[in-house]
Amino acid sequence: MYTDSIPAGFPSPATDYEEDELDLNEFLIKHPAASYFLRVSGDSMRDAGILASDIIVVDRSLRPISGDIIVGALNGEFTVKTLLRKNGQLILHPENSEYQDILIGSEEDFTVFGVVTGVVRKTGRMAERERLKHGRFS
Amino acid sequence: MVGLVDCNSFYASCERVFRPDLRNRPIAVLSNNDGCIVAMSSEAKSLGIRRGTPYFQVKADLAAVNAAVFSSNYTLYQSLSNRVMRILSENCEGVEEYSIDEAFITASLTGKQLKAFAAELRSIICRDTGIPVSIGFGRTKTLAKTANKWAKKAADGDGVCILKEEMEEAVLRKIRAVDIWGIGPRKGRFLLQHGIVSAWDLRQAPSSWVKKHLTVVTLRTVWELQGFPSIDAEVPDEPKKGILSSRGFSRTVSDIESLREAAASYTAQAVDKLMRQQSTAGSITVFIQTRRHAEEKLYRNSITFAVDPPSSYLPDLTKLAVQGIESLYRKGYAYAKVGVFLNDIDIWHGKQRSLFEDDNKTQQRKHRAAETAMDIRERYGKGGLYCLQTGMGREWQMKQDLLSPKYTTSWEDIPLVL
Repeated sequence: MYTDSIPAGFPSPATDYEEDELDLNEFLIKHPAASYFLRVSGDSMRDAGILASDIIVVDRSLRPISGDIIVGALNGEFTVKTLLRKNGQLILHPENSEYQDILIGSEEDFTVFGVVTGVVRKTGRMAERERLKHGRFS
Repeated sequence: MVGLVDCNSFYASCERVFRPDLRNRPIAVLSNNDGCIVAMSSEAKSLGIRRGTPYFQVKADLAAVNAAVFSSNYTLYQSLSNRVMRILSENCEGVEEYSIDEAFITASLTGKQLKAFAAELRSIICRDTGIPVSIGFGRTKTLAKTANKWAKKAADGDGVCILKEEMEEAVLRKIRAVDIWGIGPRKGRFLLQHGIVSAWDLRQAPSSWVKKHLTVVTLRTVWELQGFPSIDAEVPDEPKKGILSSRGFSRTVSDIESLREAAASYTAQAVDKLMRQQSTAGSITVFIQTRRHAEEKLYRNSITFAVDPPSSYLPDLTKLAVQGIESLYRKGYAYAKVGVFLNDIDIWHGKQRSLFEDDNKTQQRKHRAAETAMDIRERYGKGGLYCLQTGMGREWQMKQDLLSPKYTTSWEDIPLVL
């Protein structure tokens, strides 16, 4: 309301060069109406840098292609995996050698919820606080 | 042409977006206080349960088909509605939000191009939000509504209907007059008594007869069916006639403190709405009642105070509401409901209303205080600032035992993924 009222002194020479501060929402989200946050449980995507209790950004407007990290709904549960298509076979590939590939057969109830476009994680003490709050995810 | 985009079984569809396990399960959503069924998925509708049925009457039927039952999660519904509306405004020439799950849109396309546009819009909304919609286009809003209904009915089920002028007669002959937007059961019965059965009959009804026996609103409906746009965009600035804030309690209360708190809290909600439309109230009515069909003693009563000069100042209105409760309260009853009704609403002009200069200054100051309070409530949420009368225990707050998480608006509630 008072941005234009300068009671004394000289106006800032930078006024005309002012730009908006950086916004993480803008950086992470290309399609706001189609993007959702989900929280990761488990470490099946560890080697792709997605850890337990991370928040992932999921964009539903993108068409998934082989090699994308996606969130799928498999038999009524959300799962985050790398989607692969090999010789017509759909595969949900975990990025952790302790887990096995899931082959999507015709008997499976499977749809893609969206494509994962980003990961958000706090570090150090902030992460500790997050872990305490969400202990059930690690 | 005008299009109507309508979300299918909106509340039930919202409950399904983050629950893939509910894909084919029947879903029912309950009203405030978990009293009645307000929305159902198509699977639940096919059981023959009607909207408005008390939950306890159909609880067993729903359980028998393994239905998922939810309290109304308006936070979630509004969030997903905003997303749908945003997609519409990004893709359409004009958008008029009509309700939480419906919007009128305009398109200058015709023929195959319009059909293709509608089909693509529909798939974009479903893909981006997870909410299925139906789209109907017609020459007027009423015809667009009709087309939308037709799109839902059609067996091929592509969810899109373009009601071209040359198709109107065939479609309107197959739709009952009572099912036309703005008619409703009472007018429908009257029309039926006078031999007007189908929407086509209504379209052919003489204007003079309609105007004489029904209202000018119905006459507009007839014109709209004839293809003449007669329903304008709603004027958003028009203040509401009266603002009601009232709800039943989850369990009855007998002590005056709880009633005071409830009345103060409902006053705050009503004043919130009042402020949002920048208006003042000239009167406030408070009412209390016991349960309607109970074995206990019945009592209901109300009291109205003039607010002079008209005001939107929460502390003053709260004082009146609490005063109302104190004069209405009788010992020994189990109260089930309290309500606050603000009436004689006028737009706040900030102009002089009192001959006494001091009064005017007080009024201005109170209005500023009210606006500041609004800002605080907007920034810090509704719990950010309240009058002390509102209390903090909220023992009487509404019953929502089956509430789903706020998946899109609360960090604590975002969906889990393995």
